[in-house]
Amino acid sequence: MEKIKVVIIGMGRMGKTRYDAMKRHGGYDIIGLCDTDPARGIYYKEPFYSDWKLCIDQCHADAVIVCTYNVVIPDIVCYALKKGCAVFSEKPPGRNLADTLKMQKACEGSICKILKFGFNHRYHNSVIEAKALVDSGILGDVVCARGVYGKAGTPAFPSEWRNDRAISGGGIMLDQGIHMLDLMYYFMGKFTDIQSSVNQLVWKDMDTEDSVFSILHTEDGKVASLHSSAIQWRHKFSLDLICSEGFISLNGLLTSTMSYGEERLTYYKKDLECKTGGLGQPIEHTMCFDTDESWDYEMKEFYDAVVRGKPVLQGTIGDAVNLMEMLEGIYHKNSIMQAE
Amino acid sequence: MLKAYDYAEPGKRAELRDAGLFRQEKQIAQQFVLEHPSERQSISCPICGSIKTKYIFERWDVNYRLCDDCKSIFVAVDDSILQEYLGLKSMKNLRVSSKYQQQASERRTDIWMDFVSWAEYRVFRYLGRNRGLRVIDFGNRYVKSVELFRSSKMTAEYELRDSILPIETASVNEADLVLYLNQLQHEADPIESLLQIGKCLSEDGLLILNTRLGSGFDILTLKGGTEDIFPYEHIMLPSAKGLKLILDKAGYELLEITTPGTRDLDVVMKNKERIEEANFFIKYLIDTADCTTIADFQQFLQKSGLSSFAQVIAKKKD
Repeated sequence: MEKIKVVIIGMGRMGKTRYDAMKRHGGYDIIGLCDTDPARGIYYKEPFYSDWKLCIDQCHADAVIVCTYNVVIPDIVCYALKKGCAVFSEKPPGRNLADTLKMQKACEGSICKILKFGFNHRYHNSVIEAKALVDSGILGDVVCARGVYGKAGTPAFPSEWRNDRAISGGGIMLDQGIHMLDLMYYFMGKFTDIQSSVNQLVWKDMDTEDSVFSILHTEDGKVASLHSSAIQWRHKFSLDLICSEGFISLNGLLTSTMSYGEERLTYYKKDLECKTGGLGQPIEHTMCFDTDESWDYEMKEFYDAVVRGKPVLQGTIGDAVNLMEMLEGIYHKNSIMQAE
Repeated sequence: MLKAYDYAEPGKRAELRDAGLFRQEKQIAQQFVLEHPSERQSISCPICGSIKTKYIFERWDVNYRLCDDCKSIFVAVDDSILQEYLGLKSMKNLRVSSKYQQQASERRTDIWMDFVSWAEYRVFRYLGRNRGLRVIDFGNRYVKSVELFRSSKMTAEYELRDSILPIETASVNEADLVLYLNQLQHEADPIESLLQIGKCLSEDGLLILNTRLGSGFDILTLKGGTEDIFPYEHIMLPSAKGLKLILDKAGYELLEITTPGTRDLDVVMKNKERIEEANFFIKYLIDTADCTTIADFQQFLQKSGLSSFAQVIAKKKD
């Protein structure tokens, strides 16, 4: 198997997740790691840097994996692209649309032109199956959607870097809700008309929002409601897709903590004549999944883009720009965000 | 790995068969079996080859054996007898009769429509397309089911092969989709049969197979007491493990195996007097559980791969 030389910038939880996925893949030769906390280096045998620029300059990698705080993502991505590297970066694609556009420009001006963002939810088995179900045509078109993505929170939640707006750019919506927004965009297309309520309902002293309710419309009249919450007080993932001929529900998500519940997809066909069951009880089909291969699928796609010249399919810079435009639309209504 | 289950509110399922016609089918089979007893002495497992097999139950003096290694259940029957049974004119006449077909159509059309819809979905999942397919349907003996598959949006060319039905179809040399539904149960050598079927499957084509499983709840609970399992109609009841082994040995890569059967508990409840005395828990469950508990238990069986009906999608190994 042809190997690509990579460095990982940022060796926190996501850096380690990507490191493990690349090791499992077998096509990645990890030649350098970087983190501002040198203590993290003791877990790895690869050369360890504390300066990302030095790491990229000295390692001469084919690809750079960016797993840092949001605030530094654009600088690292743009620098790596300029150096001719392919780049895989964690979401969000910067703190705001301006950051994303900056990376888009850098990508367009680069030799390699491979830039992929990590929206791993698209690679969860339930989402893969739901996408196939929608595209198979048996349930008609998706006409509207309801999504809830919620976190339990922790005692230290308000003081986490994710809620330091200077570093993160936004709160729960940008950190976690962006996955739900991405999935809705994946199934329904771009939302152009956005209404939202962005609030601090409980964590009042935080720098960012703890709750977002948003109603989103596409140009062709599809509607979605999204609730991104840091005050769910447990982990919750739920996405309903209402189709013209049936219904799909995604519930639970397999993660490393196993705290979002069993990952399940349930669907049924519209049955107005009650042929399959009683009134209001059409026969449901449910699929459950006990493995999360999303990280592996994602790293495989990136590898195939770099080595085999295949196009990046998910998490493109185009997707990133669209998502950040929609996020700006959501935050635009936000009194917290507008205050500054 | 994908696990799947279907869910219907308890108490909604109609009988799949007309009782009178089913009785006739069994009478024909029984008469033939009694006149043609199983003569093969070989008792090694036709799936894994293990000689560690033991008697598990008997039907009409025919012994069903359980493989200790792969846990499949089978009947060792002489091939000439089996072929004679499969070509039995009286059975064929009954099954192609308009009454039989009409009854089947009335009871199963919704199930078949749901299955076709499911197939359209799963084919898209693995092929990335579900239009313009060349389909070979092996052994389908229901006119309505043939009609539904033939007229499905996914089907461009359709061949009905090895069927008792007098339906003329075009010949398909290489199929994108092979349907092998409820056929494995009367295969003495399922590995060889699937090897042969593989020859008419295109490189990236799909095999959709369904079968009764010997490792399923109703079959193991009732053993010979299962009314709808009889020789030589059912001589091969692979376990889930056995089914995987058959596919592997026949050169297939398993894409998914699920057990979405909905009737294990119904069958056991209907035959509860045949539950062995020593099976205290199951007797207690069947005697005391309410319909919600029964439905939940069936769901558990489906999800855990323990129902006696399996659905498989496979493709040829690269």
